[in-house]
Amino acid sequence: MNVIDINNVSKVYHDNAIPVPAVTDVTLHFTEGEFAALVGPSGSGKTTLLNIIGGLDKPTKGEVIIEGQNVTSLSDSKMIDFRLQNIGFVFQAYNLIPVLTARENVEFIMLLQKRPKAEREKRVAELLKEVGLQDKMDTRPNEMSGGQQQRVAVARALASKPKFILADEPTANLDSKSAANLLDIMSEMNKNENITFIFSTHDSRVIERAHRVITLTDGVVSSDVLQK
Amino acid sequence: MYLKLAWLNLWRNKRRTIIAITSVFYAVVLSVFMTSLQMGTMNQMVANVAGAYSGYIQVHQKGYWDDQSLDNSMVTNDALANTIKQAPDVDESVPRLQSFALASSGNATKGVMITGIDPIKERKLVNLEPKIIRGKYFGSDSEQSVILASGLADYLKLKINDTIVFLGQGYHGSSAAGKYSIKGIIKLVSPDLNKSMAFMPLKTAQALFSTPAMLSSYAIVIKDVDGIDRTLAYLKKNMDTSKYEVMDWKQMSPELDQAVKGKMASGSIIEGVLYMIVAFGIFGTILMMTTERTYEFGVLVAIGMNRRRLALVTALESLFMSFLGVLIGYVASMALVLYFVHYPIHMTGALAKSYEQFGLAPYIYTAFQFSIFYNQAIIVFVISVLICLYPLSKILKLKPVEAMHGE
Ligand SMILES: Nc1ncnc2c1ncn2[C@@H]1O[C@H](COP(=O)(O)OP(=O)(O)OP(=O)(O)O)[C@@H](O)[C@H]1O
Ligand SMILES: [Mg+2]
Repeated sequence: MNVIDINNVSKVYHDNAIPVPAVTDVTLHFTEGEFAALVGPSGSGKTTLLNIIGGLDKPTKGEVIIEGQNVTSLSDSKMIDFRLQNIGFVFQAYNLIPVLTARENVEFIMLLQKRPKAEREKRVAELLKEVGLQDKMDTRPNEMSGGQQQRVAVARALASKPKFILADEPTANLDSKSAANLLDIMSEMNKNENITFIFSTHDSRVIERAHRVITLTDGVVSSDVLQK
Repeated sequence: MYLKLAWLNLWRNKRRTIIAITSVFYAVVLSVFMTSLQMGTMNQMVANVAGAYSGYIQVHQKGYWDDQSLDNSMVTNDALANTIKQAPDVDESVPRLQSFALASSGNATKGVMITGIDPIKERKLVNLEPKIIRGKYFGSDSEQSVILASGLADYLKLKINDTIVFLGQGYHGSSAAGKYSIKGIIKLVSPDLNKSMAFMPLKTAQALFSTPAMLSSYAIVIKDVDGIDRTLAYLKKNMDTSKYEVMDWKQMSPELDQAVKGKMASGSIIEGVLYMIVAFGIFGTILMMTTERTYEFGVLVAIGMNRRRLALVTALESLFMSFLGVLIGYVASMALVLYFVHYPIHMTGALAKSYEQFGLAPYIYTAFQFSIFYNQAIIVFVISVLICLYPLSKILKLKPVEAMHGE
């Protein structure tokens, strides 16, 4: 079974009553363990598509099915719970709660899931170790570099044991070394935990690392290729 | 966890939070102190009239209050006295006989109010002894002497041991006349009373007015002023109300009751304004705290924090803020109020004079009553809940995509 099925999804925004088509008739399928990049020029609809997959935004037409469940029809608040249990998110920046430490930020999502304390502590320690931040556990975001913050965000996205992780330009604010490092961690996680990653990017060095590259042009999928 | 998060969020912008807390602090201190002052002054006004003269409750023959003549006085009644004694919170029932007479000395005459008192029991109400400026207090309950208020004594040019003559009407039209020696002179705060009051022992007064064993009133001294309604209810239930009437100070001095209510109302307005200022202060702070975190809220809802929990955290933040302010405000105002309870503010000059005209001592008293603190806590709580509503409603409608777009 596919993890994600996107069937004929379109999204039209209205800017001062003028219709702006952001995504047009997109059909895509993702299976477990994919490591896919969503690429395309600015304004091509990458963020819009990721938001629709993650249920942050509703499509104007079409449907999104996650492990057989049509999430397009879920109510707003049901969708929040669905995201908590099934989807991990990494945004471009400012992912973390500034007043909490790295450990608390990662633990936070498991608290929302009401996981028992012992499990939380174990997993938080494991994940922060995997992202190479075992000595930054009690550090607050403002004392970490951008790359370190993004690694905490990836750890948090994984902590909830989601079915897949959506990352919108996770490396956009990073220098090339940190970006490479983050990609290393993501592909490591992808391999070890067999978790599906879908990330958008402009960066050709990031695109190189993806196993599948989907290109959007003016909201339409213009190419979808497997590499390596 | 939510508590911790709210607490940490509170201190993100220390200066702003401290300013907000300080504004709550000042409002609490000001309004508690003001209310205490008011209550103190009110209590004092009431105490001056009811606690130190009329008694908080009086019992008379039915009809006496409307027509305060000797003909409406009642026969001393042990059963009635016992009922009064047994009512809750009653400390003493003080018997009195009161009437008007003409006082003369030499060729000066003046209308006076003569009050016949039980020299011992009256200590609990119009306690004359400490007010004596010259001479002595009564030694027995039947001696042929009077104590005069100093204004009256001055007017009649009388000194201690001089003789005063009273002329008037006694019971059922009989004539009342007598000569008495002046035993003491007292100073009463109220200028009006100071010009017209004369006191004599109860039996002496009864003899003067030909009303042996008769009384105008039992003035009741109660232990707990707040429990006055209980005492009143007991008396109304257990007395023969077809023969006797029971009145509290509000019925006896409606103008005093009005004054108290009016002052309270004007105080509430000032308090309301104070709290409005504070409300806007907290509102602004909370609004800033939430709007500048819109992006963060968007992220939180995106990763799966439901809006109600997010709203809870924000609500906790504003509650923390107001309660911190209230808490330290309480500590400070309790100290302040207690200080002034022990050292009342002494007034001088015109203000003191105007107080004396109302029969008040020239001090500003504060009242230390837990009900004041309790009421303020409720008000502040209600305000902070109301203030939360707007940011909370925004959070409850928050759309992550828009929030993260910076709208
Ligand atoms: N909330 C919105 N209201 C109106 N138009 C929008 C809104 N969000 C996006 N759009 C429009 O939809 C189109 C697609 O935008 P989107 O943000 O998905 O592009 P993107 O590929 O993520 O671009 P970038 O690389 O700059 O992030 C653009 O034309 C954009 O102006
Ligand atoms: Mg984008």
